[in-house]
Amino acid sequence: MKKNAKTISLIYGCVVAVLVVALGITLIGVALHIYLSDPKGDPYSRATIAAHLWDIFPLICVTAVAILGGFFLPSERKKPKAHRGAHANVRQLPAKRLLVIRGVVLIIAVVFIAVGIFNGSARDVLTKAVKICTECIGLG
Amino acid sequence: MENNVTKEKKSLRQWWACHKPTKRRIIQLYTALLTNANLKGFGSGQIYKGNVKYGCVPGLNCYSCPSTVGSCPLGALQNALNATNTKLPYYIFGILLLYGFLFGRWICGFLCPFGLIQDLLYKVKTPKVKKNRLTYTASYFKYVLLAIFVVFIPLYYMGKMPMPGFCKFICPSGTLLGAGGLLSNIKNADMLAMLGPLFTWKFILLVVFVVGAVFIYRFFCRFFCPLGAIYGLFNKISLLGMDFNKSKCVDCGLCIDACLMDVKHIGDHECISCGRCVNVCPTSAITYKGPKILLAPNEGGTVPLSKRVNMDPCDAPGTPLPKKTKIARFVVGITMLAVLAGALYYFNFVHKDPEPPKSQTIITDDGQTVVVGGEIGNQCPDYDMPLYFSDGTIKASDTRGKITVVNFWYVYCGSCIHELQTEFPKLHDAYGDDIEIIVVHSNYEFEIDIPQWINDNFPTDAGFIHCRDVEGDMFFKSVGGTDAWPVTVILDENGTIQYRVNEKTTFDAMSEVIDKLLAD
Repeated sequence: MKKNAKTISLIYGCVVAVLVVALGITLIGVALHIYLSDPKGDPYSRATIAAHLWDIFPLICVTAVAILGGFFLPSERKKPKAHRGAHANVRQLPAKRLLVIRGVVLIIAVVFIAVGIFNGSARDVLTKAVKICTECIGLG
Repeated sequence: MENNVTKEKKSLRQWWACHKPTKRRIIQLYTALLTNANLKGFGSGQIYKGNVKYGCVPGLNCYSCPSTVGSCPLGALQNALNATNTKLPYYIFGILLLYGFLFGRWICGFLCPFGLIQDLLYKVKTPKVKKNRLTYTASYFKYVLLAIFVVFIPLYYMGKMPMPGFCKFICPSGTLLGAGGLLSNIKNADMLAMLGPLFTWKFILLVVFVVGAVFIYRFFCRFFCPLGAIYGLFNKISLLGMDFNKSKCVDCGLCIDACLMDVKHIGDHECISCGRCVNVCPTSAITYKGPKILLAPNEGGTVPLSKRVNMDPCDAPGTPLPKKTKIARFVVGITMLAVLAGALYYFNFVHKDPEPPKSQTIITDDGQTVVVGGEIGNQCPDYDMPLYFSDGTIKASDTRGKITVVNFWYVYCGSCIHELQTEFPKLHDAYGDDIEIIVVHSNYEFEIDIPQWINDNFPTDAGFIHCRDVEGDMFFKSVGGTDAWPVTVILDENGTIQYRVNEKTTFDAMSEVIDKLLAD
């Protein structure tokens, strides 16, 4: 019985994996198709995107249902495989040295922030952040 | 019958026990909501533009996402390095040092919204790729990306052109939260015209990262995230993270097996403090660093080793907490809820960005009804902007009778600079004095000397009239500009808008309109 449940879980997982990969490949294919169909014009129009989304809508639904269904399967417990000796050569910082390093880092951080506020680099952060960075989000 | 009901209740309780959100998940959700408290941005299709953006959020959270209320530290770092010729980026260095000192990669495990997305994706029930030698080696790839895309590329283009290499070519947070957030709003339909090869590339990368995260735990964080690479350097000294007591350790290695990241030992530069190791440690040698108010050390500590090694973390029973800790937890919980409620209220109901001017219908001296606004066919609103290279201002009336090309740009906008360097000089060569080209820089206070920058980077013989927008970039907004630069408008001899584009434009597109206007 337990073995059966494990097999069902594995088969189900494989089906979900295939669906997820298929959806990923389809999405990439759609993006390439939209762009390559009219690279010099406005390839991504609302109508084009909607048409393609409608085409792959059944695949999206099936994948979503399969993903959600997976959460109701029993969870597997694996047998741990010990990595013995992983901590044999770990050297820890002595407490005093750690305290000194932390103190120095904190002081440098606070001084840098204070200097940054006065030299205008804080203002630059705000300036960039309040405008949409079209390049950052892949628009242009 | 009764037995069945009890059984069902019991199985439901078991299901909930194993699926209820952990404390880490609650903190992740809390932080994601707190740093994205401007939810109204999704409705308005605009980003938050207030002073809270002076500060950086700790995780990878694109500042062009409509809901984000802080700056992305990685984006800010690249822009700061890109402008190192004007000033040293002390502020962002200080912020990164402070976050590193306080949290290290605890941020990746608890505070990063993109980490949360990947954690949830990994929950999809599929066979998973386990860590192995290849993933250990690949985990160093993020340091290569850090060196090339975050440091080298911005420094190479320093003073020439804004070039946030990682944001531009790789960052999936920008594509998902920034582009996805903005494009999902119908009010930003204009932006679709900006999409091209760069978007296709970034979309493909996003799909790869998302699908990868289903099969490989924290696919992006482990192999590609430069921010995690930076924070990882602080893991040993950070105030929060994992603590490991070597004297208690029996070196059984169960912790390394339970860990899904490519750690070599607990608390090293790959550790994101997820806490999986805490539950499997047979000797309670691993604990969370820092105050135990939210995360008590080894809450499964009373379970015998023989049972614990095969146990899901969700099954581990909690050890009874001292009363003081319980009270402290309650107070902290209430305070956190109050902060979240306050933030949601402030950003969604109190804070208001200046409204863009609305179009108006006026009756001219000769009795004609004219609509003044930013749409094509509208009369262009009047303007009076200070000039950069001479005293005085330029007014709408100064260019009446001539075709006028107005371009809006600002010094950190790569697309703006590129089109002004390559496309606009061709206009002057082709049309000479038949047209006027007004180049309007944003009114925002920049620490850069704009006239000097213009002299250094733009052709001086391109016939540009350089000026600065009025307070609050109101002229830009009055012709339909929102948050994204560049914008170009072409006015006919009467000052009527004949062409408007909210993206990088080309000589061909503009000359088609100008030729038609000249022929008329």
